[in-house]
Amino acid sequence: MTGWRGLFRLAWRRDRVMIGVCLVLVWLLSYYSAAAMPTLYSSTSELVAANEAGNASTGVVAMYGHVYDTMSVGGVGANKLAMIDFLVLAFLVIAVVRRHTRGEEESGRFELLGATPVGRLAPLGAAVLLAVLTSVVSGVVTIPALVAGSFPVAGSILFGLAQVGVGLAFTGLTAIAVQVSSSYRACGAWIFGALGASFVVRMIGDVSWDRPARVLSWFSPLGWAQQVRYYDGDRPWPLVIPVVFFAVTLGIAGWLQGRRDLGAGLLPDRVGRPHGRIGTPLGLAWRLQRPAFIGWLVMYVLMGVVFGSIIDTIGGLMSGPAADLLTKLGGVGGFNDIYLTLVASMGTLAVAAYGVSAVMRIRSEESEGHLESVLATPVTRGRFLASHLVVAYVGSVVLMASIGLAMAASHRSGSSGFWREALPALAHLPAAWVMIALAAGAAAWLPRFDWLGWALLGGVVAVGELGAIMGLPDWVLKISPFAHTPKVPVEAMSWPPEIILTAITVALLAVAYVGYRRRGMPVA
Amino acid sequence: MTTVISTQGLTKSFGRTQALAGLDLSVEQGEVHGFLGPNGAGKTTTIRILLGLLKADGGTASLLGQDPWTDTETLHRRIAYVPGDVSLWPNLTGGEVIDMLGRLRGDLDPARQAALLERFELDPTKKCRSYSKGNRQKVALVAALASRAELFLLDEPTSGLDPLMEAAFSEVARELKTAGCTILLSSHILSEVEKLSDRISIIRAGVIVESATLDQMRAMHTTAVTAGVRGPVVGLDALPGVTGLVHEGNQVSFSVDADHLGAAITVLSAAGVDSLTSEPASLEQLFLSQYESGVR
Repeated sequence: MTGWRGLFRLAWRRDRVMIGVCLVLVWLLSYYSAAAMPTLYSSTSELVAANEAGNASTGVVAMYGHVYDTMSVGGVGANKLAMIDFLVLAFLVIAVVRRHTRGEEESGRFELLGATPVGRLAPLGAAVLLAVLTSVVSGVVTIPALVAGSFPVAGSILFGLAQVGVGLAFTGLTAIAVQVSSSYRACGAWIFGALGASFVVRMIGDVSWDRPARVLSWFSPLGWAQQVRYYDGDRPWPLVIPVVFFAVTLGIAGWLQGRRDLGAGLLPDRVGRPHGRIGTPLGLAWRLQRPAFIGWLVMYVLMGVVFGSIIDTIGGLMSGPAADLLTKLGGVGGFNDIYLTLVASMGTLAVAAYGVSAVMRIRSEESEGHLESVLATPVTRGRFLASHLVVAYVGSVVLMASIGLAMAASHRSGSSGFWREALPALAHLPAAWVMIALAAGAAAWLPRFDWLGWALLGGVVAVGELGAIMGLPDWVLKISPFAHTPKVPVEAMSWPPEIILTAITVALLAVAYVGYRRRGMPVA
Repeated sequence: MTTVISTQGLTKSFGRTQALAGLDLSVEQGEVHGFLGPNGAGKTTTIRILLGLLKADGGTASLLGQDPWTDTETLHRRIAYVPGDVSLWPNLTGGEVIDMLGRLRGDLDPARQAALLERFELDPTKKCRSYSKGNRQKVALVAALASRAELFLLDEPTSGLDPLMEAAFSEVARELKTAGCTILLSSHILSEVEKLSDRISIIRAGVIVESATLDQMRAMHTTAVTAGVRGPVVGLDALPGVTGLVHEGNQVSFSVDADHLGAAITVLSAAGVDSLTSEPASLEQLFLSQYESGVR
């Protein structure tokens, strides 16, 4: 462990902003969520009704867990908050441990440090120490934030300690993953896979809370934390599990560290294909973007299923007066329509981000030096540009279609018609297309300012979400293409804005093409 | 002979830095043409213009009789290229990259590819991220050399290769030359250019400062002579073309240009010669003398 102090200071110096920002966000979120609870439910009966509605919805239980005591002050709200806090902390400690071990080795930077008197276990020790401190500080400071927000003290202490436990468990798991995996990227796949698995395992366990399969909740670090039942029975003993788990995993990781080479894992890099099938620029673009696209697709299908299955219970979550108002406005059917419209517009904003990131691949291929080899073949610039545009545009349609279809398919009872609920997801696509085309234009004409694509999208999102609250003039709000697409099914379908936005997209892409053909390459 | 590459007065600036300042380059069909220059002299910029990646600010460039900027698609069917800084897709294997570039060019030849993989001792099943610099270079080399191109633009093709692999590369390059291909070999590694090239162009600060065969270039420069002599040497210092004369005991050493080499030997033999070594200027010296003359 010689030299761990220096490595720890280096790790802290590099990560303090990331850790600080994440923790402050967690604390603010915890405080405001806890503070909002008393204003949401004015009476115990409303609280019980809300908790029962949550328990009745498979989607809510699957995402956030089951509420055992429907009188629980925290209830569904605390479960939601807990899941977000836990996941943020898990991502944070995974990033910290992975970065300062395999990340440093793979970048070659560790060779500089390794030549100084630094012990074999020092890098792992320093990274784990930083992750443990992050977990402890995150959990312990969450306690006063929750209490200040109105939650009971005993439950808040358990909540905070459960959060520490999640951090410890994933620190230990990551410490093993960095020993075993063949590369930094493979390590990410292992550990995020483990995080996903622990979410899914507890999801199945929680959904089966009244059946024998509930035992599955005990096979997941996220499940251990939930089983502390903060505000919901308050039982401290499961807090021991992550501590023991951390000690065991760390011991294994330390033992493994002594048995592997610098920069290599215990599992060898898998041997790949000696021959490839890629033969077109589109084939290459798809191959490069496939993993990210599949991630988006899985997420969109899952979101569609969850949103579809909770449509009818959302109405039940609302307190009396609001529900009355909604019924006056158009009944439960009216509420469902608002919900569908909301999912479609939010989903399309996210899809615009997918499209911009897909288009930006033309820039990263260029700056990473891959483009030269491709353009030295008979592939023209136009074909190269088009290949990534196809991935962006076709991908955007597939993603929105998948969320629409999944949502309509999982909303069976009380559905107002399959296609009526599936198709609105596509309504805002032309607005997203304009944003993607703007990003392509920036990449083509202003390669050094290619972040403009992201900046424009960020501006549009900010204006769309906050513009009305900030009291911006109408014409500013109207700049966003998302302000023009019809909000089906709340509003009737209207074709002119869709056609005009599509025409603008085509024109912008033509401009991008002209710019892309005439500029020098590669720009770093 | 037909001219395969021809540029006249090529200029290119990036902001305030001028990369090319009127470059005249001419490469004949079937020759290996060494393109020699220090870092930052404009070698890669020239090659990128020839590939149609960059548009020249001024001057003309023609490649196989076509315009590299406008006729890229047809031209690139006849060209193979090895970039100076090989960067590959980290999650594709070497074999996948070689196959893909072959298919994109439209002349994938599995047999030739397999033979080259063997000669360069490259394992195509590894992911590109796990290749060393030398192995990445080999991937780019196999992809380019396996093609049926007429013209090969190779930007520092042997950087990162060990001496054995350098030899393998030289062998393949000679085979391509025998088959009638033209090679533009950019490098700052002098020995490699010296071994392979028929003609050499030296580029410095964006202009070609010298372009000739190695023999011609040597004729323009001095030969280093060292001799062991019996008696006193008379009149050598008065001879034009002789520089750096050092007389130590019965050892004489000096440099002399090609025109006065004969006269210098005559003076030496009058004194009686015991031993004589003469070395033509190495490319390194040519290169350094060119570079220094520019600095002055």
